[in-house]
Amino acid sequence: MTMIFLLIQAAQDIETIMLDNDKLMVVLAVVLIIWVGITVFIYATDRKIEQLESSVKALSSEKKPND
Amino acid sequence: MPRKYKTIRLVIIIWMTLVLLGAFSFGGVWLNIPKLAMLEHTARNLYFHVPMWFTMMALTALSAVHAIQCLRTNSPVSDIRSRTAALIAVIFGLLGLATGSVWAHYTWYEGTNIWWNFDPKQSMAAVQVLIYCAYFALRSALDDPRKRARIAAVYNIFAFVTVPFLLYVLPRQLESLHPGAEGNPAFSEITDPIMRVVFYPAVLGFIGVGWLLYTQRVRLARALMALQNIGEDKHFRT
Repeated sequence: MTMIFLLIQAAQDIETIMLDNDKLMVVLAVVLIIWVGITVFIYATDRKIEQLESSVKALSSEKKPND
Repeated sequence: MPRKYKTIRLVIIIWMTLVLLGAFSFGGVWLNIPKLAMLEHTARNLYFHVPMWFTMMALTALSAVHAIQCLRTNSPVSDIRSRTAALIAVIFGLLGLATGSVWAHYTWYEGTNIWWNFDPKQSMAAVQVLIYCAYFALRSALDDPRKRARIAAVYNIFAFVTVPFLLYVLPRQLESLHPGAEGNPAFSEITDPIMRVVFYPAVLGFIGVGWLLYTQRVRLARALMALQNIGEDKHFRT
């Protein structure tokens, strides 16, 4: 029971924070969502580049013994 | 992937997250910023719009350094680095122009239909971006990779020399919406000192993000170059 009460309290606190100060915090929430998305994208791109680099490496090393 | 790169990437991302939190920090609790008439909350654009230009300048400097390196060593990797830095610089320049335009539209030109007002700094920045666009036009006009690398490097150095004049010297001699016009320091009495607490880390953070994008592109271009070399070798053998 106290747990539920605390959760409701927390939700109400978030509500107050979000609607305070001309709803500025809503913009922060949006910006943070975008930032998380960009971060995931940067990591995913890095992984793809890594795969590409390792396949290039494999290609060039399998070629060398024949030379 | 080197471990050092992974660490730097993580640091940049955490740093930028803190900058974003700081930029939106609210009144009465932490980093309270004064509410100015007309500007109001848009004063916070200082943390986003201005670092675009700092990042662009940092990347043009990087581009010029690698252009010099390319002329000295004829290394194709230097050419890749110089070209990639210029590309990311152009992107940040365009973002800077777009953010400035939106900011001015909803403050100084509120109620009007003006998006572009030929503010000296805005015009000069647009010229600056075009100078770097011409760099890519020049590159695309040359077919021989070695010749292209050398000619583009020479142009790149000239382009970089114009940066301080177009973004600093000229706009400050003319009347402008931007602080620092008429030769004043950029941080004037209308900029609250508390804003520097977020502003300088924001500049560093965006330069870091620019560097991440630059590094990814460089690695991609190098892998592509290696693939082309392998292809050419095979072509010779058959």
